[in-house]
Amino acid sequence: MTVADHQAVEKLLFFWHGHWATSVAKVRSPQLMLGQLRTFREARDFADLAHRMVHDRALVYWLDGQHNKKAAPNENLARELFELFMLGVGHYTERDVKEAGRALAGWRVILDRESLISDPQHRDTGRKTILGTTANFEANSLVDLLLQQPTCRRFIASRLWFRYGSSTQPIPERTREAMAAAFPAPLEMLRVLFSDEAFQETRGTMVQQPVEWLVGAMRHLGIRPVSMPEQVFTRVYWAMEALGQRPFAPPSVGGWPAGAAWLTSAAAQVRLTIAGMLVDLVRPGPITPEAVAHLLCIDRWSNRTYSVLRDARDDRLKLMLGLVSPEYLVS
Amino acid sequence: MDALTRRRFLISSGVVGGGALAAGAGVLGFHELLRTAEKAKAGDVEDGLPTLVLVTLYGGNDGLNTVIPYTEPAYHSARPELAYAPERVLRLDEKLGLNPMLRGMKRLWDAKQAAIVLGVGYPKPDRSHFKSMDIWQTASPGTPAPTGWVGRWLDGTKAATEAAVSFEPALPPMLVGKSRIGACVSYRGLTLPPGVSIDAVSALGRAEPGESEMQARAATSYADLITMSRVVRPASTGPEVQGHTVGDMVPATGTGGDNALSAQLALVARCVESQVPTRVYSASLGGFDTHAGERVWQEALLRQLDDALSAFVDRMGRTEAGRRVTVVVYSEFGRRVRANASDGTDHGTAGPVFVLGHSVAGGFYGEQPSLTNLDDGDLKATTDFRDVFGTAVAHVLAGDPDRYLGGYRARLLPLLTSR
Repeated sequence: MTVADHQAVEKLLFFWHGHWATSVAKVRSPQLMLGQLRTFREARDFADLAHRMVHDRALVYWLDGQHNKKAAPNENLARELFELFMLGVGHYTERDVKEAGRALAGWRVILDRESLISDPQHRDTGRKTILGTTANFEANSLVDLLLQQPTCRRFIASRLWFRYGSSTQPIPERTREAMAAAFPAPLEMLRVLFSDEAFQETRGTMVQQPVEWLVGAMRHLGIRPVSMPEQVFTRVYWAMEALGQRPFAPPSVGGWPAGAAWLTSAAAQVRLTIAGMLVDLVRPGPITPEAVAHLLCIDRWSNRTYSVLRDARDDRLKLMLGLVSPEYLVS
Repeated sequence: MDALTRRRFLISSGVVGGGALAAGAGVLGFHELLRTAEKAKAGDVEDGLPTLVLVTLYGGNDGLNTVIPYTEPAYHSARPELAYAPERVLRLDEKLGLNPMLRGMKRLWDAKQAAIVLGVGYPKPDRSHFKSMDIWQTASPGTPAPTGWVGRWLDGTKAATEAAVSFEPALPPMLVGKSRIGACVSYRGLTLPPGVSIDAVSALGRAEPGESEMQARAATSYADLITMSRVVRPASTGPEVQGHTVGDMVPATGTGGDNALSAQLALVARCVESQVPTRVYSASLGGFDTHAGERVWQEALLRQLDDALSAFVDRMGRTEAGRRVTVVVYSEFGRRVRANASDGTDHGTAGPVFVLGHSVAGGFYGEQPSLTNLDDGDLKATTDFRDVFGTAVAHVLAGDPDRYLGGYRARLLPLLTSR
């Protein structure tokens, strides 16, 4: 199945990038961002990933972890650990956030050091009560505590559903529980999702994110970014910004939006431009609407799109309109 | 941007937190928006309510070279290279005159359709673009606020999605409330790649019976693109829409705002004339961060601004709905009194706010700040911006300003004629 394919791993990395959404706009260090990407790739499963992420220099810097000191706590990282990364809204109290902030105090990011630096002077080694458990929590034991919460596995299942299944329909309880049973292995969880009946029913509801659309288009056309002329590459890069999804620069720690947010008329304009640039790189030979569908892995065109492609003046245009067609944007 | 807290980051990106983040809340197609007019006419929505159009000038417009104290020696001595000679300004009275580029504005002034509020700012001015813009848009100078002042009005009136609309690329923080957000109907002009016809794009925008909702929305985005370009075309100068290539879609100064103000206002005009039940529109023009070679740059921007605003106000005079429209034009700060070494000016404080429309009582409001009694080289604000926004809430939106300005009690200005 798809998950056995190498591409499934790449898509999952992009999922984690949106999940632990960290932006170079604040981090300002390509090395740190690259380190985070490597962590996504190297982590065995979600449990391993979560442990690594609380020590990830880019994430810690992004969420002001280096300002979190015993004497002057900053709870930014702790809050997002609960709200966006591991449990979801409503499964913890403000007091839990405060106490977890204490558990994460005393780390510093130093650019020329390979890893996060622990500063004993600013650590808080006292007892904390988090989610009803009292202990001398520090980063790793805090993550272990969160991983044990049944809400954690359910939350990760629902986030995967949001990006792979449907961003508009909530995950059915049965699907969620089946996926949660495969926690913490993300590809296993996805395998469960892909064979679920509810997943089949989400057909035609998932809007491709701009990066997914671009990557898909390049793969289908056989274009490799390295072989792009530099000028085209730069224009495509800034077009991604205009589409609202520049890699390594999510708009907020909440990650990128989903669904209809990508379907604005402004985006329609930009997509047409990008599609034109891509098609000009391949200069297609004679092609029919059916062949365009085959190339782009589309089951069948709507009557609308079929007639648009049939009437298109030349082959270049056929391929371009195929790339921007509603059928190609929504899967 | 390091001090940007997360919540503010969320809203400044046009994306709101929590539930609204899902499913692209706040995105509305142009066709959908126009259809709300029909629904409003069919339903019992109150007819003909006044409309507010907020125009944000991103980057910090130099107020002293916009409304010019042309007789003041201090003006000429502080910025000899940048100052306008008295004979060039468009005189409003014996002390103040408009930048020579603002001819349309002068005409509106003479017709008593332009009010100018002088020396508008807030206590303890912040000279960061992002922070100061945030302060204006959230109406919260003391502490960061998670919502914009229009957003709070949307919350307070339990407004429908179409009550506040932005034609900018991203939703401005101003329109973000706790439970409601304004709609973003973004449009960046129409430039089609070579060989692609408008007909082909329109055809791609046709609905197909039985297709999924998202696929239909994807199709509509193409239909909207073409419709919006048709609406905008008559208002723009060239035969084609003021097109942007993808390369220049990113504002040059990086301080936000969009360069096709006339295109945005043409869309507003169409909606007003169609009697779409939107109460607040947001539009913007960027690029006012004139640190170097200011004169040429600011003149080009002011001309764009003047063309867009005067054409819009004239057009609004032709319909009953249009005559109930009030335009408020502001920037996050003015610039320093003294020019810098590169014939530009650095970030400053107070500046003028323009209020335009056929319901406006034209003239000056407030007091021109002194050029000699300065606060560390900057103008001292004489009017709080919340008095202007508060007046807009009270007299255009018929709301209680005390509810939406974070505890500030606005002193209302008689900016509008009583009708």
